[in-house]
Amino acid sequence: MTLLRTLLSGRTTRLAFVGACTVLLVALFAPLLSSWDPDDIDLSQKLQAPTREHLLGTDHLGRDVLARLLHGARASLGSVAVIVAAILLLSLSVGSVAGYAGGMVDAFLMRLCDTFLTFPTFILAMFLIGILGAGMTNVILAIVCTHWAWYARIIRGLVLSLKTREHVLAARVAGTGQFRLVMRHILPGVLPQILVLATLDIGHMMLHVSGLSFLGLGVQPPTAEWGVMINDARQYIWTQPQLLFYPGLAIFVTVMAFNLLGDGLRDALDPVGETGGWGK
Amino acid sequence: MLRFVLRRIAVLLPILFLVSVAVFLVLRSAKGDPAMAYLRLSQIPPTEEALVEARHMLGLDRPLPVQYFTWLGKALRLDFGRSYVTGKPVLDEILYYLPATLLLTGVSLLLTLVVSVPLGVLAALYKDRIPDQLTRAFAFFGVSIPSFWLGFLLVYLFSVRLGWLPALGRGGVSHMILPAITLSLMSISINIRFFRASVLENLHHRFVLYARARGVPERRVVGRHIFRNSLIPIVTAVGMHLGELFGGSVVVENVFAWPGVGRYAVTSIFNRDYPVLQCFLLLMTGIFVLCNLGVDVLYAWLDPRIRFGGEEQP
Amino acid sequence: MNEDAVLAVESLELEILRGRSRKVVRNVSFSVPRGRVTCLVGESGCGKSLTCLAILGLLPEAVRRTGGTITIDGERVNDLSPEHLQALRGGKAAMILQNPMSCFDPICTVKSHFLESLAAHGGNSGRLSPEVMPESDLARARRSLAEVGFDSPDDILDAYPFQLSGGMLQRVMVALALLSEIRLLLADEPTTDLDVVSQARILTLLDETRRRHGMGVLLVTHDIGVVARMADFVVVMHKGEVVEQGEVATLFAAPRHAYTRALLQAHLSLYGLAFGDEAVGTVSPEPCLAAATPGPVPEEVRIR
Repeated sequence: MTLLRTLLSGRTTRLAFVGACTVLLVALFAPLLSSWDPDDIDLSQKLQAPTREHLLGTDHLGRDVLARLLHGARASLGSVAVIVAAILLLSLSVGSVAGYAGGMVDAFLMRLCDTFLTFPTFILAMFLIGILGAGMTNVILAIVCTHWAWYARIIRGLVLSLKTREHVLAARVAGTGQFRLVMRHILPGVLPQILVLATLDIGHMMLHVSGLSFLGLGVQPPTAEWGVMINDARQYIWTQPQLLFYPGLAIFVTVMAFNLLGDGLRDALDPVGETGGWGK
Repeated sequence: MLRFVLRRIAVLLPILFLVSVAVFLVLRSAKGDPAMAYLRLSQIPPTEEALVEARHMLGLDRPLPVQYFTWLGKALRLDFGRSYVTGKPVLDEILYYLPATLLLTGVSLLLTLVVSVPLGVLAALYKDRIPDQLTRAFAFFGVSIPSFWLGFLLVYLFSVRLGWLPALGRGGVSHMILPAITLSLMSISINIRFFRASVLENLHHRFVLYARARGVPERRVVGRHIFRNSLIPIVTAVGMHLGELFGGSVVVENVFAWPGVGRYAVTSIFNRDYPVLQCFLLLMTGIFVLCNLGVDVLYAWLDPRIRFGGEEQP
Repeated sequence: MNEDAVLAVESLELEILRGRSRKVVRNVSFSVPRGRVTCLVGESGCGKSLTCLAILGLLPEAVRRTGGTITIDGERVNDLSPEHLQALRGGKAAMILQNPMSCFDPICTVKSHFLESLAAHGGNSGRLSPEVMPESDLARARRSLAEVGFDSPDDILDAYPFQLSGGMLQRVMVALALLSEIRLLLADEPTTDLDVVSQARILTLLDETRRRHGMGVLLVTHDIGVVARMADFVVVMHKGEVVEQGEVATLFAAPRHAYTRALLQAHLSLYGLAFGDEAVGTVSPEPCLAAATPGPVPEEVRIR
């Protein structure tokens, strides 16, 4: 708990944390928050301006915009959550094994990582979706495939440096089994930094998910998702520009909250480092 | 220098081999029967015999490794097959659209460097004061904004409301402005932060103190010692930006109906035109790899410590 | 102070501005006579390096001079304009620093550093006597490097800093300092990062250079052994103040301040000696060295 307290010591970090939690709660409780069903098509009500009934108006199929926004949070955040969990699981396994085992295993696993890292990430994701087919599951799979290798490399580096620290050597001398050694002594050293990196990356991944959905490669209609909503609304840019505005704003605010949170976490863990932060 | 380049290429080759195997395997796992697609293209009715014949002709009944090497051989000769949709050689189609993408990406990269370097220097020299805070806020927003949303916002402002710039398509300089800005904003933001950190690190380096102690004029201290040392990491960062720009261009081309490969590739995905996809991936990756290699070479040329590798003190 | 001083520091006060401002250097006064070595000695953090930086106006951002005057060769240098300061640094007074590897620009050759220094001071020292022909910059650089003991100056010039050792770079720094006819040489812990052989070498070089060119030397160090070896005069600093100063012989024989005594005692105990031992009667640290090194003392390390 003290770790949490130190991590959230900055004022902007706390604000960002609140923001991120708000979005998370919205995603969780979306059905409770809106009185309309996001998939409720009513062509007689299409393209309405904001009224008391439809607080943000309706889209081109008469669906309530606010309801779709709230439910859209589920698609975006839900998929990113799964992506981050999967990436962490995969990269922690591969990275720890490579770093700890060393030798041929390490060489092989790193060549494997290098293979994945050769491709530009978005293009590889597109290719994978093209082969596997559109849809949320495949988007998740594609993004996990394109991002895990970068994390694995970093974790390997961290494990390598932790392997030679005194407390690990002491544990080895005491005869601790290898699995326990990794779990108890090495991973706790790796986790904080990785979690910071993952938080900083959440925004980036949300942009990829909504970007792929915008292109029509992600969530399929009629599911509500912010990127899809923007794609739907583009033809109405001359007449109903607000339909473009809201979903984009939702993405923007959410990504900002997580970026800010990630920045704050990173500064809390390593206040001296002024080394950029985003982008790989 | 040459040895460095050769060494880098030597390390790259096994990776490229693994890459080609991976791509091949993924392609083979795709839904849809290439034999069927071939028959459809050639407008031959898909009878049992025709299918068997087609499979044999396409080499699909051979063992997998043989198929791989046939495929690799063709790929190295730049033969990526024919589009399932148009029947024309895929490479020709893609090369038709590639210049537009390269133009957009190139201009965006230039814009990135031109905007982010001065802003990064400004932010570093006025650290924690107004110029720094404004620049950092700008960079923060730039990194968080979805490019497709930004694109439409700009179109709404400058095309719909003000009518100053065209909304779509490729044409003269005015058609290039909004897409280039939209594409480069993310890279500009990342680079500002990166360059600022680089300058800050060099501002307090001891060689700056020593240069001043020797009476070197301040202008030269900043211009030569601080600035040039700060620029070097940017060179490696360009590789990272290129990846970002290639990916972003797909979306931006879609928003602005810019006739580049990205847009073509997305259409091919909907058409399940696998040969196009394969060529798209391999070509863009190839360009990416070459650019990264070029960047590494440039970096080695600029930083003597990398160039002279293992040479220690006499 | 007397007119023969190349450096006179009077009542210097330095303050740190971060957070609550506090004085890091208080009422420091000393001088460096022409052609002689004054050692500024004290433990880490006593303010001696800051004092040294303050002389050339090279204080870091957080530190400010709040009082006192500094005179170099009769000229007050406290509040000089940037142009005058620039002419002073490397022209009339030069500095060599510790950890030489970090002082050179890693992407510039040694030659580049030399040409830069020469260009900063007009290519020719302003104090060349008329009979001497003005030489090209490169020739000057070669001459300087030869003087500090490099047999093939061109190899050094063409090298990048990371290709040379710490000891070599320290000598290059001296060569750069000698490009002009300096009156004052400031040496901030020049032996700290070097091995023992390089240490002896650089100290011998500084001594010879001083003898040959006649400049005054301010040598900042925390090593009493260096003081014993080099100093004519000693200034002892403790927690930002001068606690004692005087001729080196007097100081070693009869230190007055408790801190000076403690410093000397700590050093002597390394050799198993103590105050009052017969061996410690003179300035010469030969007994110390004899105790430390079995066998004859090697030529370079022998003292005056």
